[in-house]
Amino acid sequence: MTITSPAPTPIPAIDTHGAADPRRARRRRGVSAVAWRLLGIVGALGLWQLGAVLVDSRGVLPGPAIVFSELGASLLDDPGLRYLGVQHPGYLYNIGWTVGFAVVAWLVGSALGAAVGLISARVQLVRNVSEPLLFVFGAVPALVLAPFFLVWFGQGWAGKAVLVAFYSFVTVGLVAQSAALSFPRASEEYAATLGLDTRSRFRHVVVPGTLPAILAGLRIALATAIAVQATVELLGSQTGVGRLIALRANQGDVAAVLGLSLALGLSAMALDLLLRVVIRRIIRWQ
Amino acid sequence: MTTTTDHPAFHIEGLRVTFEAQGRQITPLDGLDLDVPRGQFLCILGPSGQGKSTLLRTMAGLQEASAGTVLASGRPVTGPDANLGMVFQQDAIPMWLRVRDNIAFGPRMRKVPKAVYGPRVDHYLTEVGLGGRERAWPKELSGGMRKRVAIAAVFANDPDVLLMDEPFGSLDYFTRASLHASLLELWQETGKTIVFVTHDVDEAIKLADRVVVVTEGTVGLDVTVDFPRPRGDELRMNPEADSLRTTLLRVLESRAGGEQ
Amino acid sequence: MSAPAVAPRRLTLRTRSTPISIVVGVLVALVLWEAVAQIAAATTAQGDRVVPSLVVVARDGLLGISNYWSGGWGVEATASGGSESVAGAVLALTQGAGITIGRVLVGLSLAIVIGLALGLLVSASRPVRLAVSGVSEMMRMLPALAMAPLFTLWFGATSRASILFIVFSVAFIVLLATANAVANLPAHLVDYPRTLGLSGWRLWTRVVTPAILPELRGSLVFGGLVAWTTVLASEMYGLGSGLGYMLNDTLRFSQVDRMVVVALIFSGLALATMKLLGGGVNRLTRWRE
Repeated sequence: MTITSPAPTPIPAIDTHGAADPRRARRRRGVSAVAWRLLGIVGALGLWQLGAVLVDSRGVLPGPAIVFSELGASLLDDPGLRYLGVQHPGYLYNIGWTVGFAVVAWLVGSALGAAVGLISARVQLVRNVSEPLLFVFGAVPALVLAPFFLVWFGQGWAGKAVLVAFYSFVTVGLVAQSAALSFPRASEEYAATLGLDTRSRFRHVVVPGTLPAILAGLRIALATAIAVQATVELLGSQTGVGRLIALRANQGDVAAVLGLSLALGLSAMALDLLLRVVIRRIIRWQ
Repeated sequence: MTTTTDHPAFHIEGLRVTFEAQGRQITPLDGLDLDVPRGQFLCILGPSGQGKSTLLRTMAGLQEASAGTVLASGRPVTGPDANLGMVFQQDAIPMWLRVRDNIAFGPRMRKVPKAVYGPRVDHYLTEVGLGGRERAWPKELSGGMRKRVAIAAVFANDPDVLLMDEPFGSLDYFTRASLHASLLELWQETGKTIVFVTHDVDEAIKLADRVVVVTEGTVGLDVTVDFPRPRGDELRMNPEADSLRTTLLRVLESRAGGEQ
Repeated sequence: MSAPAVAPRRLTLRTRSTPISIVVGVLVALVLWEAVAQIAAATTAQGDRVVPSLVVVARDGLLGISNYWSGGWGVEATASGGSESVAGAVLALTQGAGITIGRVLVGLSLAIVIGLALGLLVSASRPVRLAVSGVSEMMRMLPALAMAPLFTLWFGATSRASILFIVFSVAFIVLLATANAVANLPAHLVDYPRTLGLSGWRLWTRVVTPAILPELRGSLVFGGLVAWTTVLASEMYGLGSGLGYMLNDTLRFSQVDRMVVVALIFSGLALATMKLLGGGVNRLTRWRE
């Protein structure tokens, strides 16, 4: 048996930038991904328009063109709503009202939720105190509290703000708690063997380590926080998108209900995009 | 701090560790005695689940002893301590810190003056071969490179002892060999005591001054390894090394089966 | 080597859920409520109406619920001359709860089946997956809850409106989660069964679906919560039956004592079904590590 060795081939230089520059490849994939998504949205709008043409009744299913043109016409003022006694009938004003209060309440509630959730995963006393709230409202819609808040706080902003903040508190609290509970022990032990005490381990290891999960929880909570705010406005309010939806629905105006919902959805999406950019900057290490 | 040089790095006597795991009481260590002289490279070998990791964790202060004495440099180990550095089997380094910040993590958190730790960080960073990657995130590094960060970080924290828990278990042969070389270089340069847990007999023979086999909760075999360093491929031809390998394998084999 | 769960020092302590703390928490909440009720009653004129004492809730609140009973089973409706009774209240609550639970179960099952099927379908091709998830992500951002009136406009104040509303809210969540889970599935999990000769339909139902279940777990439980929230919004706005309707009715007349009874029953049911759902999903995925 003879072993023939092939002619020695030169060892190729190690390409430290990766074989075919994966970064550029990823970017290319990213561009096509955005294109496909846009195409999907355009397709959905097309289907909607087609459905509207087939149904042929703007009282049942108005097409996107009608919905958006009416939305545009009522952005700043709406005589019909003014006639109904709405003090600030412009859609923009009401969107700003709903989104503004929802975001402030969401921020406060989420911050509290993140703090309590994280600490409750490490301090049994805090866990015991917070457990009833998280256990119950992790499985029961916070919306069930809305009627109480409407009776106690009236139709003003305070009751709604408390409810939205509470919803965000529970959602983010649960996410933070489970993230801290499943955080790898070795990372904390490593920090301990470097000489970090309990407090700095929490601040410099547990908090940054669970941040990605918490920020993802914040994103989940934002859209629902806005929706909850609008829903409580639906049940009783003087201002806000929910109030306008209720008025328009009473008149059977499907186009206005769709337009207002879409406008609020688009605002939520814009905020979500902004949040995503901010989050990506914060957790570049992931 | 007058005591540090007069005492052995570790003095362990009658160590017993017992705890509850998955609902039942287990006693991985029972009546273990061990002295580790200053500056030694000690490898702890043992079959899976027979206490070698528990021993290391107890030495690091991560695991409480149920009975017996554990002294590090003459002082009882009461908890994790910056003097007892540890390199973990898993990736335990903070993934959110860039390479240089990661290596500086320990001293910075302990509020060591920057003038003191800065040069040390740069030194070990170059020493383990991470020069030029200071600003990289750990996610951008290979598994071997992350281990280099972990090793540099522990040395930069300047502990008395390095405890290593199967640190290279998940790496391929060549990466492992190159990490062995870096580690031995750092050890010889700093003269620190290293306690290295492994289940790989060849790794132990290549690295250690002394090999201790932990079986059934106590020291089953304690051998000195005095082949000349650096130990390269010629160790494979060395009949003495071969007979040592056979002895160690035989002890491990007869005690295996404690697999859980 | 799989290190056993070593009992570490306190430094990596993880807290545990203690059932007793939940019981204590509920008791504390009751005591606080009663304290506020007594103070409100003593200091303000309408205080006992705004925060009624637990005794009032248990007596007037519960009895008042019998006004929602429309007659039958030997208990006459209060509207046709019957008197308020515990039996009437129990019947009214059972009826309302049955209607609400029915809507949730039908809506949630439909949403899961549709979401899962569509999610698997769109996963077959990357462009379709991206196109559909783009739309689904948009739909997910819509204030679905506040769109309750739309469904009553379209389908009237019927159970159908409520069920379709639940499907509308939950199906996108399941669809998105399914598509993501399939996209994140490690290749070897599918490659190995293929080397065994599986393909097509059997590959998708026998391998892909169980393999993505652990990742779907969170979304399925979340979908259950959204279903309960949705049914509540839908019944509170526009429907004439179910626990949500009763809740909104007590709101219209500010009858907090009745409101408490309905809210407690609703919460208890939601809690129980959600825990059952969570347990069921956990059982399905109990093979995972």
